[in-house]
Amino acid sequence: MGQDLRSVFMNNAAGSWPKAPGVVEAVNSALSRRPEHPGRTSLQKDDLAGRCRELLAGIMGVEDKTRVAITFNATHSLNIAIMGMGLQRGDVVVTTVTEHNSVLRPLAHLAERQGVEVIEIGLDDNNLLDFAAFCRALERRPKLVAINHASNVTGRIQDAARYFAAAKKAGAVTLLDASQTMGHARVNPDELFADMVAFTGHKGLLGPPGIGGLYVRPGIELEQWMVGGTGVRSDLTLHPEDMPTRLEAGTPNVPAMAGLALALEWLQEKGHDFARKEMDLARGLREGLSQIGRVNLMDYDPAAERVGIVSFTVEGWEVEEAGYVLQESFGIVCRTGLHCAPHIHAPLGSAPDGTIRLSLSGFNVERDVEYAVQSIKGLAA
Amino acid sequence: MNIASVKKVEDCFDGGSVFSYEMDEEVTEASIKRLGVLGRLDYFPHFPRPFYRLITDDGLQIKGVEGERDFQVIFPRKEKEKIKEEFERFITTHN
Repeated sequence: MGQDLRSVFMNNAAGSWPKAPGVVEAVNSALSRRPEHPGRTSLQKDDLAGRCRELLAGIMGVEDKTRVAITFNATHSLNIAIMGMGLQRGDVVVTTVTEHNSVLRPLAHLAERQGVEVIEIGLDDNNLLDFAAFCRALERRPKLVAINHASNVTGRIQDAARYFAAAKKAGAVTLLDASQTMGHARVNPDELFADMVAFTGHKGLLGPPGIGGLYVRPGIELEQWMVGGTGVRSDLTLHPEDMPTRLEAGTPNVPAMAGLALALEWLQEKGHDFARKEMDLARGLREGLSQIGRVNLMDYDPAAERVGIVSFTVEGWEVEEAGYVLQESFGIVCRTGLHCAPHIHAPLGSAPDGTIRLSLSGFNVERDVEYAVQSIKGLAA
Repeated sequence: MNIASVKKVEDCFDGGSVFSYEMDEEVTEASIKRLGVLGRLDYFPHFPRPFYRLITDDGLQIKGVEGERDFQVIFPRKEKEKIKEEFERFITTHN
């Protein structure tokens, strides 16, 4: 046996592949030439940090690019935002069951260590965030409201503007986790009433891992909890306070910047059609799977706005084993389990084992979707 | 068929352990079917690369793909070492 298999990559929610055309070469080139670490060399040919910042600001419709800090990933960004709020014992934070551990764990850490109270909003009957419960939580006058723009389990995009508008009226600072929407959907902080937007470069932005970003609205000055070398103002005893240096300490990931800048330029030109293709393919995948009797689709609502993520279980198969079989027997790369989002599974009905997740990109083709549907039909037979 | 290498992959929550076995030959349909004497064997020959899994009364679990040299084994917490020893003896003498 050991026949050659068709190989289909459907794990883009963990890290997109392939990358935007030219990204690999850009990273390679940055590593191959003499290092140009910003402010740390006499070689200053390219301002890659500035270029990334400008492109990221452009994608989000942000005027002041200095409000975009370049980080190492979304978890880093979220930690900068959450830990930088200076939350104290008795302060209230409102978040949701859809969150990734990159939000849940920093908040649990603050709850455990500093006595911060965390209120978690569940889902309503339509699998939207429970707005009535959210409004009741706002009566507690939270300092921070953190919402996942799109679930990395179901792909559903939440109407962040509705929740954040209410949160702003209640005086909260609003933080959007856009890990699954940047590059896939429109993420404009003004339109969404988001004071802060955290994201990564290696998912929908089609860049390499090791780079992310955090937008911080003017007027919000996060406490600095990571300080050190900046490449500028070495004369100062304390870390500079002006943005974006305020939130950027240590040598940046220059090769990743080179790759991300190239990916962002590619997305500027092709991003809209690329994202649309992903959505269309995912819709086809959901529809195909919905026709298979022993497949339970999570949060199946054809009308819901989503990114290209499809989660499901197959009766008769443990999720971990189904993922193993999809990978090893059918050549479909997927992810199984809780997907680092442990609290969404009880309301979805997928606790304690989680789901099988297929996540698409615009580089997938219809044949991939057809093959996945046929394979899962075979699994469910 | 002989064992080329054994690597511990991880410990399970329940105290069991997952090991990855690599054999010196590919696992064939015949060798998969011989595993059936150990417990309940599920074999899916119609998959592009046939999948098999076995669960024994002791709680030993095996899963793999026909045509590969490697497969995964979960040993239960209870009598882990004894079951592992017996399993290794079985696959090297009966396959």
